[in-house]
Amino acid sequence: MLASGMLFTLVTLVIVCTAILLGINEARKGKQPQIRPLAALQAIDEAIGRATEMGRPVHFSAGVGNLTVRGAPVMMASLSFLSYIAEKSARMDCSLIVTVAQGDVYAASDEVVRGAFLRAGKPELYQPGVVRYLSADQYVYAGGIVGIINRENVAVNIMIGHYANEALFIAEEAHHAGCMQIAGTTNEYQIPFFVAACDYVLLGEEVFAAGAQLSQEPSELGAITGQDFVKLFALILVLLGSISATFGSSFISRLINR
Amino acid sequence: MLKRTLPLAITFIVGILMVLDYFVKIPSLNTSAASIRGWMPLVTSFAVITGTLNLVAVHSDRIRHRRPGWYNSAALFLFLAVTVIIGLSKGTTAPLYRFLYDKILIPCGSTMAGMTAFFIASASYRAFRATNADSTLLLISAALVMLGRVPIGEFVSNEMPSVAQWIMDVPNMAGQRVFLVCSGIGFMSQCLRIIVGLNRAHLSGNE
Amino acid sequence: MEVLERIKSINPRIIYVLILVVIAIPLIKPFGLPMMVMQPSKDFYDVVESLKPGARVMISWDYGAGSDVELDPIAKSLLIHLVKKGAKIYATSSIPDGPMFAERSLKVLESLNQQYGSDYVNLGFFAGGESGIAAWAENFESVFRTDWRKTPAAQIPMMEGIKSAKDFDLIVTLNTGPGGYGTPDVWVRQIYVAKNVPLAMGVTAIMGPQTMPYLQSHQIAGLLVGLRSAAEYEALLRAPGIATAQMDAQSAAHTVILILIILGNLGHLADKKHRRKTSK
Repeated sequence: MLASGMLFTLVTLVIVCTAILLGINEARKGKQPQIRPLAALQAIDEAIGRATEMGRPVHFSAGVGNLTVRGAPVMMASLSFLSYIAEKSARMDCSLIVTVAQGDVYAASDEVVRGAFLRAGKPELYQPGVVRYLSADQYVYAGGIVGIINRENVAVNIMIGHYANEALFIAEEAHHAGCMQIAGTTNEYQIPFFVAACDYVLLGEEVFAAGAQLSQEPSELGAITGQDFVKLFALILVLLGSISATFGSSFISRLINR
Repeated sequence: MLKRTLPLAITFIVGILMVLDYFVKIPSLNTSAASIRGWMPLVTSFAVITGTLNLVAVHSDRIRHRRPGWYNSAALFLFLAVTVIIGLSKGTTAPLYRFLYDKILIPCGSTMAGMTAFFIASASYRAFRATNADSTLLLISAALVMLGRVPIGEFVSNEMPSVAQWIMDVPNMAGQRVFLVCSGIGFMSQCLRIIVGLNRAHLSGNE
Repeated sequence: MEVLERIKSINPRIIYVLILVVIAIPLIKPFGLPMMVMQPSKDFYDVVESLKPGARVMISWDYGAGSDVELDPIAKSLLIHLVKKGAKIYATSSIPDGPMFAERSLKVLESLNQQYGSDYVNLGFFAGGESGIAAWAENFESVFRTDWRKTPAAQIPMMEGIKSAKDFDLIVTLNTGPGGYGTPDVWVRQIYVAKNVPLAMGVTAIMGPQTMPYLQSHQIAGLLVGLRSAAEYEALLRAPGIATAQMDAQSAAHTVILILIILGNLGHLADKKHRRKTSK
């Protein structure tokens, strides 16, 4: 019944899920972990405040990923950020522009922004032009964003989500347009570009941790504790694998392939 | 009920089904999972239609109110119409459609990609500053990799490619693996929360 | 000193013009700098070299406009090599634009007297990214019922006997990490991990560090990274092409960027010194 070579993967999945669910359970009982303050996160409030003072808009982009395949988890985390940013912008009467590259992300973002404006008590701020679908093609999408940043005099550019080659294009152009920039992605090969061009960057899984910090939701905070246990498990496995390989044993690699 | 419970129930059932499909071989289960996968293009196509409707709404508003650059929106409509009409009437393998793709879209895309070289130059000029020990280390290793990855590096020293390869294979690899493992765990955690309905960001903006 | 301080903030437009000039010159008149072939390229070459005549190889063009500059040369060399080995080539793509790039690359096969339908076929785009790969990896017919030209699969001679991913001797993805489609990790998961079919990759330079761990863990059999690897592959095939010419341009661009970084740092040091002086 079990597909061949899948036993170890299945056991690992069970361990990961159990650890995360236990972490969530503990957090719900009140044992919430302390997450170190992330500079990028603290900068979001400051950035929206700055844009409000300048009377210029904040731009938010979740990148080119969609909600069904790769990048889906980071896109979901990105929606949490959007929810927070949209609510904060509405409360501060700051103009917000959200650009999306995928149809499903458009539908979800639209819903998120509408909900956030409602929570802020300003449903009238919602207009069809707040969330804008540009194109699923990465470069057309990037070109569209750069045009919006320059034409609409954007003060703050926030890019949190799944990015590919268009990342540097947008970030560098926004830098030259004088935007304050906050970025975050789990795409390892785009992080250096963000670090080079942006003011604040969320690195890899910090995107998920920051989402938890923003929402203060026990299920998110608890998941972070669970993730740390899983990391410990991975670390032990790496150590055992390295030691056994050093002594010529293939026990761990055979175990993983079972 | 329809707005919240139903999507959560669908997410849970489909999520569990897909996970089981990956691990177990039960013909009826595998067939069901394959059918659901077959629906995906249909669902994403509807999402593209929603996105395109938004595109039309935003740009027709710009034209109607003669906002700055409204003629760009008009050009967008023109090209959108031309591409859709040719694609639907002649098919995507037709020479005319291929012309639009090969002679307009590809050169434009390549130009945009090519511009990355300029941005890399200006960003690295600005970012690679030896302000402390860490950034100096980063600067030196970046310089060695940049030289080692191109023939001019070999012109400077025969050892340059090997040094660059070592930096990529050892210290860089260690960092990349940490990223892969940690991001992977974060991904799994997020997926689990979505499947069991603890992450509802996509439903209304409320967690 | 004043010059050095000014260097700290060169106008980006000057940098852009400089880069344009140094890239253009070697493209017009290549320097012909010698180049060493690195081990990963040799390994990739050996993987293809070990294929038996008649081996079935699937290549997925998972890239679109913009990445073609780096990945088209890899595709071309790979196709030439596969023809030399007498392999049957099955082209596909996880992204909608991919089949058009595949079609462009496959033109090289016509000049090598290969017959469409018996030596190579373009199966076109498969939807669903990871789910799509999982679907055809399990049941090929469920996804590929026709080729890109809408010919039913049953009428294509080389489609006979293809039931799942396990019927291929090698699967190669030429990948630019397209968000939402068949990214490298997806291929590793669905082809190597789930089906244990040999998998190789050609990726853009920027994706090299991200995909290298899969090579070291032997989850992929071979890896070509960007133009450099493409040029090395051309060298191994003893057929210098566009990638070899472009390496000179890349050499020149890297050198200019390095000079700019050095100048930027000199300017930064001068500025620091100046500030210290004025604060005294």
